[in-house]
Amino acid sequence: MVGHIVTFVQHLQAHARQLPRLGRAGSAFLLALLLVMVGTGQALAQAPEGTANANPTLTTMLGITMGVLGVGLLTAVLISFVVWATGTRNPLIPTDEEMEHSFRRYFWFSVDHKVIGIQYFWTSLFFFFIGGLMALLVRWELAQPGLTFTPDQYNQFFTMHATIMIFLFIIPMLVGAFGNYAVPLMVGTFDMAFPKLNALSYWLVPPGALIIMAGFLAESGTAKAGWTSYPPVALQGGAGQMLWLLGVFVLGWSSIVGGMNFLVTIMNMRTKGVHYFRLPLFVWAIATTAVLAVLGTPSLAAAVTLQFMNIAFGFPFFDAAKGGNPLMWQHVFWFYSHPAVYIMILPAFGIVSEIIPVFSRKPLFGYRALVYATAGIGVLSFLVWAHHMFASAMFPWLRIPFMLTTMLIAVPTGIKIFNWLGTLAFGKIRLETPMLFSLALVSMFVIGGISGVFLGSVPVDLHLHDTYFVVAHIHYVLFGGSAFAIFGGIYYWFPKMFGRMLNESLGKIHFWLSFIGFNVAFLPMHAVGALGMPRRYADYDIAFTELNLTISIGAFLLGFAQLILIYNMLRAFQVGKVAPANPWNARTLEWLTTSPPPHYNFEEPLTVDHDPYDYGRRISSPEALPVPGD
Amino acid sequence: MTFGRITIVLTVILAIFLAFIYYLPAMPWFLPTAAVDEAQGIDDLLRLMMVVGGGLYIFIQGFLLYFVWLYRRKPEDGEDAVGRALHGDNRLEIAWTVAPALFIVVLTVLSLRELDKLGLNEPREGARVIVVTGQQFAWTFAYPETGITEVNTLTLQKDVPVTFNITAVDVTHAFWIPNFRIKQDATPGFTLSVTMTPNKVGEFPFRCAEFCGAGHSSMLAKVNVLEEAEYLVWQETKLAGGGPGADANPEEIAAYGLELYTAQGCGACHALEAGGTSGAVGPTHNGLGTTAEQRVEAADYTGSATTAEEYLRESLREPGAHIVEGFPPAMPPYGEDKLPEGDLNALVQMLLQQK
Repeated sequence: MVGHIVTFVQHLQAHARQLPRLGRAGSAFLLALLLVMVGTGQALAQAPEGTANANPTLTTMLGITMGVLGVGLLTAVLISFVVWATGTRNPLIPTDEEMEHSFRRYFWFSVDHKVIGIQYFWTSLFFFFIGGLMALLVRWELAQPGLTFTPDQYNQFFTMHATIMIFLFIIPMLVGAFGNYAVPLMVGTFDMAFPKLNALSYWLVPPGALIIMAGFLAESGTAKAGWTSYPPVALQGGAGQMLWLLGVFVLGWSSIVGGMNFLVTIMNMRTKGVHYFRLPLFVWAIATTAVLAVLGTPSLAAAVTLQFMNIAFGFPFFDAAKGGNPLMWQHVFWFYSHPAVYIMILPAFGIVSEIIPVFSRKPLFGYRALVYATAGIGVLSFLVWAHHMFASAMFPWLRIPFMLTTMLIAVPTGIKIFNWLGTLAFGKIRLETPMLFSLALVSMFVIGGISGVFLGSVPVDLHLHDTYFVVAHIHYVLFGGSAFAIFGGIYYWFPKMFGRMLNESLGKIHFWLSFIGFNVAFLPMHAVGALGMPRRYADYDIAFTELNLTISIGAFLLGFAQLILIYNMLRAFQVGKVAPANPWNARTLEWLTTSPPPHYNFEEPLTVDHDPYDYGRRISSPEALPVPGD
Repeated sequence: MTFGRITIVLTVILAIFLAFIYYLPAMPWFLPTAAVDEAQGIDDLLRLMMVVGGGLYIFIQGFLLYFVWLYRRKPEDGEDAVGRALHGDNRLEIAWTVAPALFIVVLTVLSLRELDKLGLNEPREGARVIVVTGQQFAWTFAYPETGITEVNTLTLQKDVPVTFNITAVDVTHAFWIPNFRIKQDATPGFTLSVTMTPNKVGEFPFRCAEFCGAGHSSMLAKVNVLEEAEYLVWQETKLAGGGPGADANPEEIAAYGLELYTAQGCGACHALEAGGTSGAVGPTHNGLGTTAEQRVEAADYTGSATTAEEYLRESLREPGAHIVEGFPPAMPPYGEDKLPEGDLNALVQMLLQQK
C-alpha cells in the first residue's frame, strides 16, 4: 500500500516534470478543462430540478455527483491521455509491449487499432442491450392503453432509447468498432495514421456515456425531451437535460477526432498498389462518413453548447420569452443530425457491399457507380436538413427547395440497390448468416427508402409528420438497415477479430427471429401512424389497441432474438471452431493475415496487384491469393 | 408454355396487390375519414405514391428473391465455384439512374402542384379567423369576430373556410386533426396561418403532435363541425354566457362546474375522481375542498387569500400565487377571457365540494 503511494507520488512528479513539454497551449487547455469542470459542477448544482425548488434530496445529489464524476472522469481521461501521449511512462501501468498478450490492454490506452476496435465493439454491444431495454420499456407501456409508468418516466425511456442507440450503439459500432478494426487492414497498413488520437477517440466514449447515464440518478430523471431535444420544452429539463447536452458534446468530440483520423489514414496509409479505386466499398463508406462527421458534428457541438448555456446561465438563445428563437435550434441541430443519419447508414451499405460479392462469388457490380453514389449521398446529405421541419414555423416557401433536394437523394440510393441486385445476378450465391442479413438489408431498407419518399413530399408529410409512420420509417432505415448490417458485419468479421467461428445454425435462428420480430414490430407502425397516432405519446386512443399490442409482441420477439447472438458469441469463445485466416474465401486484404492478426497486422508490407472483388478470375483458393511482399 | 403461364399468374398477383394498395388509403383502418376539402388531394397523392412505391418494391423484391433462388450455389457446383466475372454495364447504370429519376421528377412535380393547389398559407376570401394557442397542456380557441373563447373544444361550421392563426405561449406544440390531415407546429414567438374548409359534420379528435412535455399525450381537444343552424345556436349560447342562471341551486352550479372541468381539459394535468381524470402533472384535486382549507390555515402560509374559496379563485386567475411544493409552476393563468366570472364560480364551487 505504502509502496503504491510512493510510486504514485513519483508518478505525479514525473507528470510535473512533463508539464513544461506541454507548452503554453497545453497548459491553457488543461486550465480551461479545469474551469469547465468547476463551472459544470456549479451549474449542475444550481440546475432547476423541474420541480419547484424542493430541497435537493439524496437522489438529486447522487445524480449531480455522478454527473460531476463523469466530468471528472473526462478530465482524468484527457490528462492521462496527454501524459501518455507525450511519452511519460506511468509506473503503475504496464507498457504496451508488456500487455501485448494480456487481457488488461483492453482497459488502458492502446495504440493498436485492433484493440481499440474491440474496445468499441464490446462497449457498443453493451449499450445496444441497454438501449434495447429502454425500447422494451416503451413497448411495455404502449402494449395496452392506460398508464403503467408515469408519462415523465416514459419520456425518459424513449429519449434514452434513441440517444443510446444512435450515439452509443450504431455510430460507435459501425465507425468505431468495424471502421477501426477493418479499415487499416483493408488498406493493407499496420495501424491508423494517428494511433494515439485513435485511443483518445475511444476513451472519450465512456465518460460521455457516464455523463448521460448519470441522469438516471437525478431526482428529475434523465433527459426527457426526445433525442432531438427541441427547445423550449428541453429547457425545462433541469439536471438530466444538462448532463445529456454535456455527454452528447463529449461523444461528438470523439466523432470528430475519429473522423479526422480515418480521413488521414485512408489518404496516406494505403499500401503499395491500393489506389483509390481499389479501396473496398466499406473503406469508401467510412471515408465519406468521416467527412460528414468532421463537417457536421461541430454544428451539433455548437447547438448543444448554446442550449447548455441557455439552461445553465440563462442565455436567451432558444427562449422565445426572452427574445430567443426556438426555431434556430431545429436548423442547427438538423444540419448535423440529418448527415448523422447517413453516418449511420453509409457504413452499413459499405458492409453489405463487402458481403454480397463475397457470398455471390462475383465482382461487385458497378464498383465506380457505387463509389460515386456513396459520395453523392454524402454531398446531398448536407442539403436536406429542413425536410424534418416541413410542419415547423419556418417560412412555408422554404419547404420547396428542401423537398427537391430530398427527392433527389432517392437517385443515388436507387443506384446502390440496383448494383447489389446486379452483383447477385449470375453468381453462385452462398446463403450463410452474413449474407442473409445483407439480403435482409436490401429488402428492408427499400421499404424505409420508399416511405422516405412519402415523407419527402410536403403535402403527404403534413399528414404523416410526427406520427408513428415516421417511427416506422426510421426503424426500417436504422434497424432494417444499420442494425441488420451490424449483425451481418458481426458474423462476417467475428472470426477475424476473435479467431473463432460463430455457429451457423444459431446464426440462422437469430436471423429469422430478428427478421420476423422486426417486421411484426415495425410494419404495423405505418398504419397506426397514418391512422392518427402521434409519436412520443405515453397513452393513446383505444382505437389503436390491437395494432399497438401487435407491435409490442414483435418488439419483445426482436429483443429475445438478440440474446441468441450473445449466446452464440459466448459459445464461440468456449467451443467455437478456430477460424482460418480466410474463412469466407474473400479477396479483400484483411483476410491475408492470421485470425486474429498480429500486432502490426501483416508480417511484411503488402504489394497489391488486384481489385478487391475480382472473383471472376476463377482463382478463389487461398493459395492463389497474391502473396505478401514482392 | 410454362413460362407464359407463370407470367400470367405473376401479372395477376401483381395487379391484385397494386389494386389492394391503391384502395388501402380509402379503408377506415389506414387513413381516418377525410373531413376537409383539402384532404382529397393529399389522399390521392398518398395513394399514387403507394402504388408507385409498392410497384417498385415488388419489382426490386421480385428480382432479389428470383436471383437468390436462381443463382444459389447448387450441390454440384463445388466449394470454390465462382460466378460470372461481370464488372458492370454502363447502359444498365444509366437506365437505373434515369428511370428512378423520372419517377422522382413526376412525384415531385405532382407534390408541388398539390402544394400550390392547397394554398394553405395564403389568405382566403370569406375565411373565418380562429386564433389557436397551445400551452402546456391545453388548446385555446379564440374567435375574434365574436369574442368567444373556448378551451379544448373547437367548433366549426361546415363548408365555411377557416383560417387558423396558430401560436403557442410556452413550448412548441403542433396543431393536428388527423381527419383534416394538415399539421402545423405552434411555436412561441411565431404565428403561422393555415386555411382549411371542413366539409363533414361530426366530432373529430384533435391531438398535439409535437412533443411538449409530460402532458403531451393528454393534450387532446375535440373538434365539432356543425351545420349552419346548429353553429348559430352554439354561437348564441356561447355569447349568452352559458351555464345555469343566477337563481340556480348549488347542485346545478356544481354539476355545471364539473362539465366545465372536463371540457376545459383540467384532467390533462390533475386527478379528480368525480371527473374520471388521473393527470399527474399538477397536484391532485381529490379532496381539494379540505386541502385548500388546511392550506390557508397552515402556520407557514403567507398568501393573501383568507378563505378556501379565495384561495381557489386566486389559483385559477393567477396560478403563480400558490405553487404546491413538488410541482412545476406550469399552470397557465385563466383570465376573464378564458373563464368568465360565472364559469369561474361554478368551477370553484365544484372543487370546494371535493372533501
